Order: sequence, then C-alpha cells, then structure tokens
Amino acid sequence: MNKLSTFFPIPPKPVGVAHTVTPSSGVATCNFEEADIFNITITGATTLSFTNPQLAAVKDIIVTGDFAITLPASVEEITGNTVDEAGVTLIQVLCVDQTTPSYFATIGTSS
Amino acid sequence: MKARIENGEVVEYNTIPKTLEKTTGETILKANTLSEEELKQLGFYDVVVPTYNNVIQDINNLHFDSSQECFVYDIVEKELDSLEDLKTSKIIELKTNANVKLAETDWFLLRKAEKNIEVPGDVTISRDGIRSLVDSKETEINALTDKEAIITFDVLL
Repeated sequence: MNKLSTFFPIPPKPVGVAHTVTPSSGVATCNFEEADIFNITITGATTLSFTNPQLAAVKDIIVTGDFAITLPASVEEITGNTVDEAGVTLIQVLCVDQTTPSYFATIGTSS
Repeated sequence: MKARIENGEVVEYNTIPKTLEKTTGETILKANTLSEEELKQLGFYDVVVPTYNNVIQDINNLHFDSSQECFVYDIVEKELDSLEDLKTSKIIELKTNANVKLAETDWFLLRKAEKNIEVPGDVTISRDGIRSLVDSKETEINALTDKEAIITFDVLL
C-alpha cells in the first residue's frame, strides 16, 4: 500500500451483482438498475422486458430452459451464433440509447 | 410443413426457424420450440397437401382456409395435348425405346454385312420379339380413349 492510499483508501472495485428473475405470466422483467447478471429459468415461452436502461451498460441475461425467448423490439442482435433449442442461452445487451431505449445484443447458446 | 402470410404472400416453411422476427420487431429465439397454439398466434398453420392425380392434375394457389385453419392448395386439371397428339408422342417414345434395344445387337448385322458371319439365331429371335412387341403396343396405344391411360401406358421393352 503506498503513502497516498494510506490517507485516501481506494475502495475495492465493486463486484457484479447477479439477480434471479422469476417470470410471471410469461414475462421476465430485468430491471437494469438492480443487477449486472440476470439469471432466468423459464418453463414456457417467455418474453423479456427491460426496465431502467443505463447508457453504455452491458448486462448479461442467462436463460435456462428449452423454450422460446422473445426479445423486445428495441434489441438488435449484432453478433451471435444460431440459437439452439437445447442449452443455456446467454444474451449480452449493450444499452446504446437510454432515452429511447435501444440495445445491441450478442446471443449464444451453450452446446 | 407450415406456412404463413408475410407481406401479403404465402411463405412455406419446411421447419420453423430457430430465430423469428415478429411484425412488431420483437425477436423470438428458439422459435422452433413454440407450441402449435403459439405458432398459430404468429400466423403459422399447417399446409395440407390434397390427394390428387398428378398425371392429369396439378396443385397451385396455396392459400389460407379460415374454416379449416390451414393452408390448402387448389386442384386444377392439367392442360393436356389432344388424344391424337398424346398417342403420337407415346408411339414415338415406344419406337425410341425399341431403337435403343435393337441397337444393342446391331453389330451382328454389320458383321454379317461386312464379313458374312451369320447372325446367331437367338439374336434374330430377340430382334423379331422387340419388333412384334412394338407392333402390339402400338395397336394398344391406338385403341386407348383415355388421356390418363395413354400418359401412363408402359412403353418399356
């Protein structure tokens, strides 16, 4: 520890926060203010909804369950592989517009 | 097979794509796991291929039948040639087949012409058989009065 940090302690880098989202009536809402990683287990076709977007924030949404996942129209997939019906799906979204929410996404399914 | 109407046109799908875009812009991942009911909500319905006679009929104009909740084809009669034209074509086909069959043993006759070596008896019998079969099949074709029967008439020798 150097002299400066003795007087002005540098706070540790915050670790990411993970939340578990439970879908309700086929909708899973990810409040982007609440976490960095959203774990969602789905038992049927589910629509994702995003709230409180933060410009430039990257959020990871991990979906378990071999069912259809509907992404909001504001999400544009820019890279990713073909999503397979079986496997965990990672949807990584970058908020590129906070005012009129808009996201770019990278999507993949674990083999 | 399923189909749905996209931009006013019927689009057929052998399989449901893994990723679909809704008309409202939402993207559906793992769309191929959707249930029949969910697929119907997205406009996907079964394509029903009718039983038809492909010799004299065609199917076209795939369209949605709301009463049956599926996509169906219209059955239309093919525009066939006249009876006489069909017979002429069939006989040409028959004689072409005969020519191919006879060509297999033509060299025996060439050898006879060039070297005066006798054509084997079984070859002569075989060639006569081909010709008489052509004659009898031609008579049968000429006696037909049904277009489907002419089209499906077997001219293999």
